Amino acid sequence: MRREASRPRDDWAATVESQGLAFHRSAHPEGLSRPYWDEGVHYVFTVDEVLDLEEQVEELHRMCLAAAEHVVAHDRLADFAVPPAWRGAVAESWRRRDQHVFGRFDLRYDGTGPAKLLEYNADTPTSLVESSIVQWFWLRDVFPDDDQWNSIHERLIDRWKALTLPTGPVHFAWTSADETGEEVMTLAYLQETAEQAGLKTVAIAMEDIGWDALNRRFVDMEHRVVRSLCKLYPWEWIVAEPFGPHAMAQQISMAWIEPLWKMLLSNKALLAVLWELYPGHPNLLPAYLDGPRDLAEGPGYVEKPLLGREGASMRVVSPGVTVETDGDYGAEGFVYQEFLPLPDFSGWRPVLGAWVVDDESAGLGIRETSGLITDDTSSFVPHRIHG
Amino acid sequence: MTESGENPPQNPTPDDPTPHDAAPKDTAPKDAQAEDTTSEGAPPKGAVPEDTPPEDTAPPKDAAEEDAAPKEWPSQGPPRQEPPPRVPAPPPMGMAPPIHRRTGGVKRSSVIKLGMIGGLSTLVVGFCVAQNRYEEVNADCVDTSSRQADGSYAVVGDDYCDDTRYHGSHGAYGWYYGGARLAGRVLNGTMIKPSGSQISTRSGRVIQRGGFGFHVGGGG
Repeated sequence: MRREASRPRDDWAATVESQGLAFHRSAHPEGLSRPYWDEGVHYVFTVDEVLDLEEQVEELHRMCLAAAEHVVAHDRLADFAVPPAWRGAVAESWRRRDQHVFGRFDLRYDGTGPAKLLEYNADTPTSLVESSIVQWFWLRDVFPDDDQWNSIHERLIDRWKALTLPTGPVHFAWTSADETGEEVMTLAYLQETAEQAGLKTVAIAMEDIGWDALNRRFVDMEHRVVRSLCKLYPWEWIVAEPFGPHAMAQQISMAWIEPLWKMLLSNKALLAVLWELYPGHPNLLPAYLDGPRDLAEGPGYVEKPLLGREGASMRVVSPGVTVETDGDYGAEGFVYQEFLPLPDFSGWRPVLGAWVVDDESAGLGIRETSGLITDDTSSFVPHRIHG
Repeated sequence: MTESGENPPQNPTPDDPTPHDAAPKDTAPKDAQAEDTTSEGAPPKGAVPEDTPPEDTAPPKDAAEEDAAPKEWPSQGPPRQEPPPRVPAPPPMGMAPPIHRRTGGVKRSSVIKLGMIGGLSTLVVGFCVAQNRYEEVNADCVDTSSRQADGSYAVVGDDYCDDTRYHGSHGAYGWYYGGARLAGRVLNGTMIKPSGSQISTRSGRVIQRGGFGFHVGGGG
């Protein structure tokens, strides 16, 4: 794994916009020295590194499924701050193994040792278009003879084909509150992959989803019944909203993408449960729910809110290092994970976003920050496989 | 109670609500290029090294990984569970086999509880009648504690049957389907929601909107 500079394509901005990355200006905070999509640098991996990482990703995914089983079997849902009224529904969703489509691991990796799990964005992963489409076309334009860890597009189409869905179109719901357009873009892309799989699809805003109280079902603006709903709206929010009880009652009769049981993987309490089940595993860092324990005396720790997003409300406590990010998350509790700084490549720190589609490794997207916490100031950089 | 009346959309649809347009329409070249890559002899994504068995021989792959697994583990640390086996992943640790139940969306149990008041045989007859009606079925919101000897119920305002409204602890209001209205009362219907029918109130469809979307910034 190495970081290389390369000359951006002359028309890169227009190109990535034409490929769907419409939000790359709007979603990025102003005043930063680099754009969100930065093809002035990229990472280079060997085939062996990628094959090895794929194995690690799939093993991590299997461990996460086993952790979900453990949490349900031992009634640990309170550790995940799942509201009491919803615990039964989450457990049932898992026991049914409600169908799922995708997720993204965030991994610390420096090219020398095993990747370390930082979190699993298993419910509402983004940076999908960058990973699947934009960096692929970059590769074709700039390094046409090289390869890329990226079968996301094909695998999404295959996954949509394989799902057993209720009759009627699949609805793709975004929130009109997202002003950057990132969520619309991601959902539009997912919708595109579903269309290519031969499914009929409909786009709708979460805010426009209607509840037909008499017929006890969700409907869209044209009164079509919503039987399959793909959303990027986190379950922990749905459970607390006025239609939450309806959503709970519609768990069996509807297909929800991602399903309700993904609450157990997208929650950082997962990190502590994994460490309980697989202590010392090379892809894990020590993590605890009840406090930093011995980490405070040793390498230091990162305090992560169970349900935080975009690196908000995080705190690094380590000898000589104290970093905090703003945010309002954490009311639901924290997990304390060993602090292992992100590797430094020419002053920038990459996080590997490893995609899982169905239950298999599907691709990679890399974000870089200058700081120790990957937040909304990070830039997406492409990668290639060479040698 | 109609959609355009008391329950307007909380956020009006934007002028162009079709985010589809934002998607890369022409992603076909990707597939084509992926094939090109293969034909050029470059290693395709996820290619297996030459000395490994072909991809479709799963069992040897399993064995290979199990053999390789121990040396990847560090020696430190207390005993731990082995990771679950390689794909195709069997359900880990005694998990129930995957079941995808699709029952058509009818949750009868709670409705039957309400209907027991009126006697099950009457209910079943009423249910079948309602089932045979091909098109629209009317629904009236009734006070379920008001049943009289003729089987009729007192009709109350639709909003008493709105799930989101609190009606006090007795909760004796429910929808009565396919009934005949007679002077503020309704009879010859059923408490069981008929499946496969479009149900309407006398005043039209009841659609509530704006029950999702109170948070901002969902992606992660």
